[in-house]
Amino acid sequence: MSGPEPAASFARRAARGEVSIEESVAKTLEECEKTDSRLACFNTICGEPALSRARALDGLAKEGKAAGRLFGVPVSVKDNICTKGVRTTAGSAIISDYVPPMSATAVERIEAEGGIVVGKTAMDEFGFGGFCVNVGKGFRVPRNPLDEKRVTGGSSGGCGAVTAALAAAGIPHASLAESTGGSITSPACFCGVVGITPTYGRVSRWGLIDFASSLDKIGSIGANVEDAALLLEAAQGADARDMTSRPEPAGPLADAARGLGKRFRLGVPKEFFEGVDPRVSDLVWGAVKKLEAEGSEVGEVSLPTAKYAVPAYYLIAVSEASTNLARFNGTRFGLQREPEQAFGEYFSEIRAEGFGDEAKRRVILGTFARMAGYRGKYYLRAMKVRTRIIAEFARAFEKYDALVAPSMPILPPTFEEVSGLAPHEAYALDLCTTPPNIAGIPHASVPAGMAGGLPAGAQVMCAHLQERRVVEVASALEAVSK
Amino acid sequence: MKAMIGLETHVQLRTATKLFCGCTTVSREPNDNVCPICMGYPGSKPALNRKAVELGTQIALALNCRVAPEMWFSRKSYFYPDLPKGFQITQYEVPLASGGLAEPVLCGKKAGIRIRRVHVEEDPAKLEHEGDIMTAARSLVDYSRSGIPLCEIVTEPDFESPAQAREYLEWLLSLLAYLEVIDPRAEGVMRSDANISLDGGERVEIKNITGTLMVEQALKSELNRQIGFANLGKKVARETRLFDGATGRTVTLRKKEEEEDYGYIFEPDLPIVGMDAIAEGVGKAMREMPEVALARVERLGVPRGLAHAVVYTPGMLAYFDECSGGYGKPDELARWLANDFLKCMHWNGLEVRDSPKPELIVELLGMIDSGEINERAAKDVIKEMFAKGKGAREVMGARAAGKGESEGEVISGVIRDNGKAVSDFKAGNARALQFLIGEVMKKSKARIDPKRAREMLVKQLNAGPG
Repeated sequence: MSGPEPAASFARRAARGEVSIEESVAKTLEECEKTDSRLACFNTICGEPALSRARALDGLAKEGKAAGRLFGVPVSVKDNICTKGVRTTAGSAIISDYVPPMSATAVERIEAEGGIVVGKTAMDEFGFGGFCVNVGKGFRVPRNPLDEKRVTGGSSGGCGAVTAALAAAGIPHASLAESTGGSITSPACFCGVVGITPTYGRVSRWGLIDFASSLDKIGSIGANVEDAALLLEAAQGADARDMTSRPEPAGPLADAARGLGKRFRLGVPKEFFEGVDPRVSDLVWGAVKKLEAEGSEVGEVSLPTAKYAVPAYYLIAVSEASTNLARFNGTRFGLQREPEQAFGEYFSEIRAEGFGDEAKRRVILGTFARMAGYRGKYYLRAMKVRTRIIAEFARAFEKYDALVAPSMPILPPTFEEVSGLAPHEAYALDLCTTPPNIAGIPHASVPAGMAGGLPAGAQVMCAHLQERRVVEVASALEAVSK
Repeated sequence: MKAMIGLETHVQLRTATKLFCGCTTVSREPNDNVCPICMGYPGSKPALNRKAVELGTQIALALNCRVAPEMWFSRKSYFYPDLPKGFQITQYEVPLASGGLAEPVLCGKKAGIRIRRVHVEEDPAKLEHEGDIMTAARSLVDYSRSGIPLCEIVTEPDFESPAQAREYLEWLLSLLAYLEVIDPRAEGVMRSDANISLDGGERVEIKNITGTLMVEQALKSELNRQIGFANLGKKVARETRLFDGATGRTVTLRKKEEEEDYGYIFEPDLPIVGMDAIAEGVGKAMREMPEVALARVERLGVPRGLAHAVVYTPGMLAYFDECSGGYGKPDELARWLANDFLKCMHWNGLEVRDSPKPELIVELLGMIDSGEINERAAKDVIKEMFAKGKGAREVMGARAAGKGESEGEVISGVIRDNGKAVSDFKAGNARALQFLIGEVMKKSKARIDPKRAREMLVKQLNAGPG
């Protein structure tokens, strides 16, 4: 597979008027429809708005006024990221008709760079899942383009599937995804594409429908490291509308994907390999060894607190989620009915009907974890564990430029395998993704090779705000894994 | 039996915009100042209004609290139709300030009321029931209130009587009005929850009492209820009650075991706020406390009643101080400010800062002192100064021009028209001068002060021919 033209080069040609953006978008939309009927990866395809925007951009190119890093590039957007005037559902029946009055800052910035939103992608309801099988009531479960019997990974499953499918069709495209505890890495890994999750706060969350506000990060999925880096580069930066956004200047990233031949100090955290499918660990170690052969230093490192990342992550995530979802009660947001009973019963009825099982499970767990008498034991203790994990990573980064580990501990599972998992078994599969997510450090998942026709992913983790370093190491891994 | 009473008081902070969005705090009709943030739209995020934090800090410092080096916001979760996000952003573990002491004079005695904490939070929306809350067919939500910044001031149970509690609230209200951190005229500017117990007994909380007088009534009624229980040897149950102003009684709202669990978590959409720089800035700009100012103004020879008006009328103390720089009679100044000035201000719906500039008032008072204008005329002139925003001389010039006669012309006219009186005066008849002064007063419609009229008449008669 030669892969499509890099998005950056397509954007340059489009800006020079060398391609018809309208034709390209029409072709992309056609492919999106085809892919969607096969893989169920879109919640909404934005046909007409995308085409009229394409025509407007063609006009600009003709007048010589075209500019933007993503000029004419089709972009798909996870369905929990608001798009003004376009239905944004977060994959949930309870707000399946929400048309936001504003776009997310990330979407505005991508559009300002000439990107064209072509559709809103399928996801686990509110991001509550690692396989994209926990979609809301009435939503379709997306399938993996590499093997339709297998899951896409989640929760940004639609982003992973669309990116892989359009890349296979030779269409330039990138996808705006979001991760709370691994929702970018998991689908990127299982669909054999690249996902970058930036530092917490690097991309504004204004316009993101919250799952767990202290953990949610908008990031990117692309056919290759450069495309993913380019989309992130366009979306990142401080924003007064999100007070948790990072004020530090955000520099270019995509060019870091082209400067190969660098040597790195790489740490391999041994705890991330415990219980991992040996086919996955072999491929990840293989890639690391190749970088060592090219001159990088490799050392084993221990992050003993990392094993508490899964429970700490889940406690914080569900505590916050249970408050973020409280607004969906049928007053202004949530299904609308004529209330016939006391408001408490009305709220319960709306929520019982509107939320799926996993959403209910997490609301109940989260409400419990922050109840008086338990919050000290669960919520507050989890917050302390998070602080310890951050400190532990910081110590590792004194010695290493980056840590490399498996992205997911398994190869993409079948729907049948996933349906046999108890919730806690499913949560346990987040062992590699929860540590960088709970610490808020930037990380990427890149394909590390195939085992039996199925992709394994390598995860690159760097210190806070070192997105550029993530891109450098990820490209090096991408190059040796091809 | 000793009563122990504590108060949790919410006041509305005087800011131009809401606590977490850019909507104005002024509402003329329901839902006229709302946006995705204060309506809790999915995807919106709060952005903290720094002014509200500064005003809260001012209150904390005025109550001698320790301002936290860093403060956090928290989410208080409960389901109610007036709560757009399903939680209220408030402060829990780490409030803005704690450990303060208020020392007002209560019931004739200087008290020491410990302040447990001061924090800022957002107000929920307002429900409008079509009729009675229990029987209304519909309830409507007005989100104009949603996100209005509040400051909560919590005391230790240091009050011994309902009267003390009321006097403390009155004191607090005037202190906050003096600091200009609240608008005392705003609707529902102050609401309190009161808790009360008799020694050894369980604590009862009375929720959401408006104003100051109602607090005293509610506490009196609850105190009587508890004393009645004690006399019968019954135990008071720990519970939350509501005060019904119509019956004058408190009624059970919920029992202890029905108390809500708010499931507090840290507000993850807002950063930790470093308070050192804010506290330092506010501390430096902090004005003298009103009791200190009152003593200072009284020492200048201003009677207590006038001094009180000068100090507690928002903005007037600074105005008084500025005028004092150019005018040497503080008691006279205070008398004018507390009476005619204040009346004109209210009449024109103005505040001190929109009133005529201090130098113009100094000029007017100087003109009275020099006899250029008499007090009665000055009372009219100050009205026009407010209405037209002009100085006294300008106002008087315009009036004289309107009548076509200057002071001098009036005097000359009187001398010309009263030949007999003039010759009587020249012959040494002092009563003739009195008559002429009367004529001047009549012709000038008392615009010319008698003292001034005398001076000008004598001058012209002595200088005149013959």
